[in-house]
Amino acid sequence: MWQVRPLGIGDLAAVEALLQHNTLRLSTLPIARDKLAANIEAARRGFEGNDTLASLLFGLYDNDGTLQGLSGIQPYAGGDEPFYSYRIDELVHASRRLGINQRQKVLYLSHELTGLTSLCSFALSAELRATPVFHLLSRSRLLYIATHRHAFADELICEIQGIWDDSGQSLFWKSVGELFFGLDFITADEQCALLGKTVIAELLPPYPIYNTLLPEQVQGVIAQSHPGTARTTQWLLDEGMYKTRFVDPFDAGPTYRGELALLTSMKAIRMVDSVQAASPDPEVDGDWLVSQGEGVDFSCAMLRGRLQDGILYSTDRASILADTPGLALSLGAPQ
Amino acid sequence: MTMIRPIAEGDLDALISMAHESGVGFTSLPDNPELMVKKLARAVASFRGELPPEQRHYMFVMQVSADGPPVGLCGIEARIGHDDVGYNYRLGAVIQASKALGVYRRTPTLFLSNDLTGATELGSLFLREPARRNRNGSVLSKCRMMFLAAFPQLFSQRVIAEMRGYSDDQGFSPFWDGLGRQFFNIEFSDADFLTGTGDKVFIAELMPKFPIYIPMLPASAQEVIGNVHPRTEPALALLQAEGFRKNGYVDIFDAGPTIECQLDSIGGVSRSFMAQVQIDTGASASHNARQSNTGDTRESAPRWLIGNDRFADFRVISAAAIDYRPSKITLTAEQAGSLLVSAGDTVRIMSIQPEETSNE
Repeated sequence: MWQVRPLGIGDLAAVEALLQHNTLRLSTLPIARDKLAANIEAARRGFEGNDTLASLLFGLYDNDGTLQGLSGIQPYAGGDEPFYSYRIDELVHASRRLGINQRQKVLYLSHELTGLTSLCSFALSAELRATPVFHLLSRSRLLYIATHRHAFADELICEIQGIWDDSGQSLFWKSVGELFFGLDFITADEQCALLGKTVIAELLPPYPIYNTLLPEQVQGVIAQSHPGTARTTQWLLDEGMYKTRFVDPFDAGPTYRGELALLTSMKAIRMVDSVQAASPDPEVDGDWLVSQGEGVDFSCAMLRGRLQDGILYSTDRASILADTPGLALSLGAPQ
Repeated sequence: MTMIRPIAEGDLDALISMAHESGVGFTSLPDNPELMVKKLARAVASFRGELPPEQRHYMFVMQVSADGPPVGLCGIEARIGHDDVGYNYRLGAVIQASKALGVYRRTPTLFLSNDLTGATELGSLFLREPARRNRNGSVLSKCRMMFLAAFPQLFSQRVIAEMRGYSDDQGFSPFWDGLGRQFFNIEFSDADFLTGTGDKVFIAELMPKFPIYIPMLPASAQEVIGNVHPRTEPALALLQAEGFRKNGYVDIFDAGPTIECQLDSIGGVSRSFMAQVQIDTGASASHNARQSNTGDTRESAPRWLIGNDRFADFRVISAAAIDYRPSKITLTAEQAGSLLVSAGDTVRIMSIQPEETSNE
């Protein structure tokens, strides 16, 4: 049975290996063992309740207990630093006398999203993204948030990777950030992940950027998602999140946003008193995410079964799910 | 001998045809008769003292003969931006550094500014094609220094000149193409014409207000920032020789440089001196004349400007040589007539070339 659990320091080597094969590079998780270990340890403190700002990191484990994916939640985007985005705004440049009326897009550096809860650090192979475990890894975070509602903001954001070329370089970065950092996208992104956001404050251009002055093909990638993220963006839209006017200052990938209480999944979460074994009933059985435990003991699994009177009757072997209360979320089958 | 005088009402036709001849790039002389009527009226009122000093625009015309038609004109705007908003880009920089990353970057940046407001501007210099010879351009340019020297109290100490920026033979400005056009969607010649009309509201309406990072502009636009039009290079060299220097501001349309000098420090102003007029009675005084000692073959090339320091009747003539003894200058009757002076009056004398001083 596939499960999502808080990452442990014992997963370090597996995390590193997984990131090395991840085609959608994560700016939140640099491939550097020391830094990864620090991130996992910080996440542990977060799970233990000892650090309310720490980014939480989850692992996806297959039937054999092998790490197959990663996901994360940053409880308050930016933590104790500003969270940087560009806000795409528009200024109307109009002259009645000249008969000119143009809407000029302008990118403003913004901290507006600072403090919202960010879904981040999502790593899953393309093969697995196409399977139901995508939902296990993605939505288990909403079950964690529902279990620890007080530890998160009322609004969620999710930053999506932007358009990169075959070598992983960002066209947008080349025309904007590189002028100011003097470093290519991948190096800059890695350095920022290692050194923290102060570097961004020090080096990102302080004044707004007129889109019209950027090369046309660069204008075309602003707020466009990397093709590999299609499953995620579709899921975010299904949850009721929407694409904002905020983009990542590095690759101009879009940011999605939504009110937690209004998300489809949040509204569908049910309390479960226990999970009990039952025989299959094709009439009513569906796929469920079931989470139990808090903090470091949190776990979430995917089961087939039905929910009746607070009891999830599962046809799967549910032995690892003790007879304890938890939360259940239907993955769309009849309830 | 050339003579320079304040423009007069009778010069309207000449002004209109010179505006037509000047072509694209002479922002201050748009080919628009209606505007020239207004411009002339303002200049005439300025010399009559009918406008407050800060609103005056002095225009001068050059004649190559006593009764001949104007062959050139030049002007002094007493204070720029006094009743409308003047814009320039300031060439500044954004410095960013990260010790942790070992990065230190200087990004040249254009900041839209009104910083030159209140400065005195030398402008509107135009010389008709046939008259572009025999140092007439220098004479025309430097007669303004004679006026500044005569009436410094009417001007700002900050004297500037905006030099025409680079554009090619077809009037194509790479800077405009890379920046202004993105916000105007009109051709450089049209935009330039509109500025010349004096209605600059559209600049405020359409130009980008936020600083422009120069590295984000096309290379062709970056390269011409602060460069002058090839045909303006002589004018730039002339004013640089008189002490003007680029001050870090450029035109918002063609990125031509602004040059600046303190009024008192302008070469022509500081080397000009006063002398009392004597009239040549016919006895030869030529042995005292300051002739060229450099073997200049153009004997008639003017080397001196003589001005009467009057306001409404301001006159400057050029002379190849002067008969000067300490504090006294001997003028021919014709020269005195052109200058409207008689024996005993004082005149201002200025060598046209900086290296030719009064006491060699």
